[in-house]
Amino acid sequence: MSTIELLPSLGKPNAEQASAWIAAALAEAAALRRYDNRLFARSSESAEIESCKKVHAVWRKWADQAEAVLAHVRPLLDEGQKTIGVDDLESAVMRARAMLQLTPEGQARALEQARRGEGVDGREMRREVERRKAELARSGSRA
Amino acid sequence: MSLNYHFAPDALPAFRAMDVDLQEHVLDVLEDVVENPWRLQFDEGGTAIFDGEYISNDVRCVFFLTFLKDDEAGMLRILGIGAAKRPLDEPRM
Repeated sequence: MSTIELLPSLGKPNAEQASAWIAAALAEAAALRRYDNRLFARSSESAEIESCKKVHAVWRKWADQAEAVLAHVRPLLDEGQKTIGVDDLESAVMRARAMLQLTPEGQARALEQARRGEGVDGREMRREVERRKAELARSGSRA
Repeated sequence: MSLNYHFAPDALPAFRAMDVDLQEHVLDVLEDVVENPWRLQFDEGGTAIFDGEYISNDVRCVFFLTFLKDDEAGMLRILGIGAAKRPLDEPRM
């Protein structure tokens, strides 16, 4: 039985139990981050991409379990009890979810594009954002 | 020597999908990073990852960026952008 399956059956945790679950989830994330250099391939070779996909799968499972931990400790938070590490765990889950939006295949493709010098200059993107912001301000002032 | 920065085509849709406040913040971060490239830890292939957190309009946002350092062109090339956000007043996960 995995953590994610066990937690709902355990009932409301006390503060000590909640802190232990959060610390365990953070410790696992810290260990996984030691392998950040294996998140994305340096080439389009399928073996390397498959290896990266395994690391992504582990991160996805970790994020699911960490969210289960956060749901498990929620009753304490709702009561206003301080639980050490909750903010850090939420940040870690959000980082994992943001990272998982980037696929190994997509990153390998972007790497090839970058090596060919394809893309858009940052100054052009700054101008595009400034234009968008001005348009939003104009449409807001008309509203 | 500071670098310029450049978005790979596949990085653009995710950037353009962000709200404008976050876009501005990410550009500010990128401009800081190209001025201070020591903030990135490049691997032997010249790639690096970077993440940051940003709070605006009661929304917490974490973004994740990947880079390729192109020494020949004096360029930091952005390969990918991911972002996750959650309203601060939303019940916790």
